[in-house]
Amino acid sequence: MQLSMSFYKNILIISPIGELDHHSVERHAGEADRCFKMRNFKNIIFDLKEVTFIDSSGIGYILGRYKLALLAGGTTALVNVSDQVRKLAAISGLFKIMEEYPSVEAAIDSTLRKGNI
Amino acid sequence: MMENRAFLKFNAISGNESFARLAAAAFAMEKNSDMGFLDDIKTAVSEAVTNCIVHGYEEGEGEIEMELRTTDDTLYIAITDYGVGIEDITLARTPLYTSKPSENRAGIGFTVMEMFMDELEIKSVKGEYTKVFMSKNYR
Repeated sequence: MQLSMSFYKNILIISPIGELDHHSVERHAGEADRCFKMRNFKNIIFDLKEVTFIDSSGIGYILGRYKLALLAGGTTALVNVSDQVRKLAAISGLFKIMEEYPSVEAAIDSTLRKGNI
Repeated sequence: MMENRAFLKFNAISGNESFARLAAAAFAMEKNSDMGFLDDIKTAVSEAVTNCIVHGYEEGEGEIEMELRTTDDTLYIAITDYGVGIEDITLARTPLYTSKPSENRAGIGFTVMEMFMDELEIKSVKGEYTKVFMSKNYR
């Protein structure tokens, strides 16, 4: 797995590429966090378009980053949610704490409307 | 009725999580090549193997065994580690429970195996082994 990161204002957009499992999470867990803290980001958007596999460790990774945004007073949004993510999200209650959007643009718009910028 | 079997033994390192789930999917593919079905198999195997590494061997050295068996209509998977074992299986199966809280852990491994497979059975003796049996009908 590789992490591709971009940003819009104080929103960090994290796009994992490849397999989001225990192995890749252990190796990359710190990368996005360092970036988030260093540049004082407040919100996170996960773009899951390039995720080829995900299990509960991947969900755990998203939950961990959600807590980071929550502590900063921001929100976390999900984009490009696959069927597999949807099934895992239902089990973990992920959609109770973060919203899903059809595109990164829509997620940015919603974050802006919530006044979290 | 046609039966097929495979037996794999590999090191309990996180890099083998992907090997194990792909091997299980490759084994099942002849009977059902539907992506949704194979994704379910891969996810359940990934959860079981990750448990062996993180909990069974507590990230230390060890070996994991995976037995695959198929009949015409059902895939059977057994995954075993010879690590610390589980003291309270009912507690371990509780959704959102984790014995090792960390910010990156969801605590839903066994729940995922239950939901993605048709059957899940866990046998464990503390200090000896943990064996997870799962099966899924090809439909």
